[in-house]
Amino acid sequence: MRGGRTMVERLLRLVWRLYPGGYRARFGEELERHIEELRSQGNASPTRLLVDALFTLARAWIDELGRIPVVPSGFASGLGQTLRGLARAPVYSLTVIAILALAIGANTAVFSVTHAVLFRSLPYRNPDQVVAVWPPPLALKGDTWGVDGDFASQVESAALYVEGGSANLAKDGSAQHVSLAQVTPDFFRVLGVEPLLGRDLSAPSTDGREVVLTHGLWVRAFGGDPSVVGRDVHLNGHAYTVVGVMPADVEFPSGVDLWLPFPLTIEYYANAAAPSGIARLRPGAGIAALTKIMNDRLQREYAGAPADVEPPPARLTPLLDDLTAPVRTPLLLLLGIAGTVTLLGCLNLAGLVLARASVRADELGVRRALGASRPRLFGQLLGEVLILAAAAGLASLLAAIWTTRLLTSGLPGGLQGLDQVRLSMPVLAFAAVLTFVAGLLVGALPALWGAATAYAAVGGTRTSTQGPGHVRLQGVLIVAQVALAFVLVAGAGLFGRSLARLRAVPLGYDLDHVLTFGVKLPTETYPDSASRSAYLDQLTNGLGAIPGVSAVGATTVLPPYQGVTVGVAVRPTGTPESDRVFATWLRATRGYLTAMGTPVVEGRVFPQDATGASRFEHVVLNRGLARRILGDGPAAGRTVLVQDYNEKWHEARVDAVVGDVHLRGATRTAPSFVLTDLAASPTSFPGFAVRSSGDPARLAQNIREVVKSVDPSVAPYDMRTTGEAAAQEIAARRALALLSAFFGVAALVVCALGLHGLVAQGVSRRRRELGVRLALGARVPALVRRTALAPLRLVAVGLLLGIPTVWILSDVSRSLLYEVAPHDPLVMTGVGVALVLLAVGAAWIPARRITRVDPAEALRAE
Amino acid sequence: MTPLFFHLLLSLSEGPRHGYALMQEIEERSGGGVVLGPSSLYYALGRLEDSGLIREVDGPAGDDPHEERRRYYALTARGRQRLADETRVLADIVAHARARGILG
Repeated sequence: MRGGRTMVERLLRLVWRLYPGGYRARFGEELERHIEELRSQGNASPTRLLVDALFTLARAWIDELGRIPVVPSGFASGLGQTLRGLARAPVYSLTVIAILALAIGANTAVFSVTHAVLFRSLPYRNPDQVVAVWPPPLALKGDTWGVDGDFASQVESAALYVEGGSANLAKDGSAQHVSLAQVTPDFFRVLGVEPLLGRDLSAPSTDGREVVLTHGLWVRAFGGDPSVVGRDVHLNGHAYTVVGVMPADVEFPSGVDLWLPFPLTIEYYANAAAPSGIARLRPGAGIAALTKIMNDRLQREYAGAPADVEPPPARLTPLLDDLTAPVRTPLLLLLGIAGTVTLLGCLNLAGLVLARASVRADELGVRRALGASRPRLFGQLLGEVLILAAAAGLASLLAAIWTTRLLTSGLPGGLQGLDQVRLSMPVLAFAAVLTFVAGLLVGALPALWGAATAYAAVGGTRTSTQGPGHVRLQGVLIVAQVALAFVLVAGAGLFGRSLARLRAVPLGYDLDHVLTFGVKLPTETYPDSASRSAYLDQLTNGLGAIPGVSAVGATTVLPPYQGVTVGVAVRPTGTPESDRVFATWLRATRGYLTAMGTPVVEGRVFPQDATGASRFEHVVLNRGLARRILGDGPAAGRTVLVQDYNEKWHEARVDAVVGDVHLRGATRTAPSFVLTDLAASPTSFPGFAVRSSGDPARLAQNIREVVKSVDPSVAPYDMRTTGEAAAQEIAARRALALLSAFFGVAALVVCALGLHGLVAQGVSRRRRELGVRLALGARVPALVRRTALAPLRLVAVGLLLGIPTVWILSDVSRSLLYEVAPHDPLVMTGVGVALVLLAVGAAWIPARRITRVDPAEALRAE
Repeated sequence: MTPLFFHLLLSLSEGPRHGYALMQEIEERSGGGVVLGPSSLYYALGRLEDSGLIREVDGPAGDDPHEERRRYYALTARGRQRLADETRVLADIVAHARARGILG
């Protein structure tokens, strides 16, 4: 019994000793007296005493840990110590700060663009509830459009709009070209915007002759004059009353200058697209629910259709997603690339920090011996890196400002939201979180290792070579870096090769010396072929008289063209109708092909005067079409049958065969086309090409004056050189290729630095061993070779991990590549070889230091 | 404030006590509902003392020399204030509960 009592007492004393804050010293005597008294009362159950002691132990430690302030006491002195330590290693500190700042800055820049473009808030009331919708949930009610009854439970309001229309806005005796959109009465209600001045178009209008101006046009054309409301403006010669002006940020559909009521009675509507729909969902209504209701309705409407005709699926997209769809994938991909580079940089720095921790093993051991606990050592090592990361985070804001400028200038213009790219609160928060995460990524592993090693080393022998654990950890870091670098550089290679292929596509016309623009002829002043023909002649002659202009022509379709074209069918004379081939119908004047620089392969283009002739009497075919229907022999002078859009066949003489033209841009195939003389059937919307001997852009002012002199109510629009137009078409791909190349190079540099560091450390660590080997007769070149080639194993493993990653990512990259497979063998092999060469090079430089190892020194040390 | 701390402050409001007396008083008052082991008792007293709610005082000069060696604790002014505050909060809660018929 007595033995048991002392046992319990001993145990209790032991437990009390484990309490924080000197508990036993403080209360020990009192506790023993207390227990003695309990025992005298027969109340001292050993179990109860022990359970109580153990519970209190847990409780006391939870309290103790909870009481530890976020900034530990003595932090200030610790901070001073850390800063002094970092100041003693300026190269190390600055390297870490610089690499982290660049990585965080580049990432922040890409995020700020992505955030501004993809995650911005549209300037509408509850923008989440506004969706682009097909088919539009509208029905004609009396003489206006309202929400279709079937959808009323989900849809608060809906509207139709037609974009792509344009007109000449008369202004002080000259004209300016404006883009317009026609909208149903609820259009602005759906968006949830109120006019800045006047009213919107929801009030019933007597004749539909009302317009609402965008803020941009109001400032540009009317100097921001508020009295413009109520005044008349002239569009293509018609008077319209300005009823309102919208606030600055309302610009939907993008590029619009003014809104008109829908539908429009006059004809300047020709290349406008079919109406699109937008709707405002009721609060609580879901996109999925409405999509289902619409699909059910479509199923019912298609109930009587033949079995193989499927109803098209209803499409509902949040308005923002709809607007940003074309740039979503490239931007998210870019964000991924930037994130990967940051990860790569962090892994690399982790290697560097690990190396520093290993060099300081002795110092850490001393600190441990002086009473630093393992968590404290870990905290110190990690804190050091976090301090550097914080400095890098601040510096990264500079890098971000610079990179953002680079990015925004590299991205295609006209991207909505791009003007709002700035270091906003979400962007700063992103940078702050990224800084912390990067600091952890860089510092956590080395700190864990360092603290553990300091503990393991104490009491053992001091060694100048590190344990294999440290080397293995650095090896893992190198493998990860090589894998990531491979993915990044392969991506850059693929995008670069794709861009090169795209640029090498012969478009079929010159990219130098040619300027193009369009005009719209009002139907009131140019009602028939004769008047339009006269205008074409007059303008062509006027332009031709400008000094330096060598050729002028007009056409219906200027490349790169994205709108609707008219189709015709064509077949050789004397063949059955089933042999017909479909082609695009283009019209152009005689001088157009010369002005564009499209080569004439054989024959002459429209040698006869075609005025008044039937439009399909003479045709010009592109080379591909001529070969396809007439074979390889001469085609000029032969006859073909052309079926017009009214399904009527005409016999036509092939005047000439010309080169293929990538009418819809480099990424789309060159279409077959049948070209007829524009003079025989002039359009109201001609596009002009002007060829000059010098820089065509310098002709712009002269051209504007000539256009104005022929008819002041007609304004030229989309004036640009063919080179500019072609560059604009591939601007997004170019930006992606350039930025991924930039990040790819960064990845290579970081990777090379990592390998170099690994080998350099290895050499200095093994200095003594190498000296012994040399003393024992090893040859220097062989040792150098072996040391330099050693990291190749790591590179090989990295490549083995990187190659399948590229395969996995091919789903994402495929849509952004032009005629390059996502796993293009040339790119894969090239990047693999480049990485191996780079690795050998990076390892060779430090490996050569072996030549400076002195065997005598090593032997003396032994 | 945990019930244990409250009990300790409450007991000390009547005058200085030593640990063992506090334990007896609390167990008695709660009808055995609060069982107080020595380890937790002194841990709690230490916490209260650290936060300045109680302080150690000289024991009363009694007839039992054994008692004199004990450590006596008393409420500080802050402790008394804190006890009043906590009691008011509890009273409020109880009044609310009563108003909802919780206690019948």
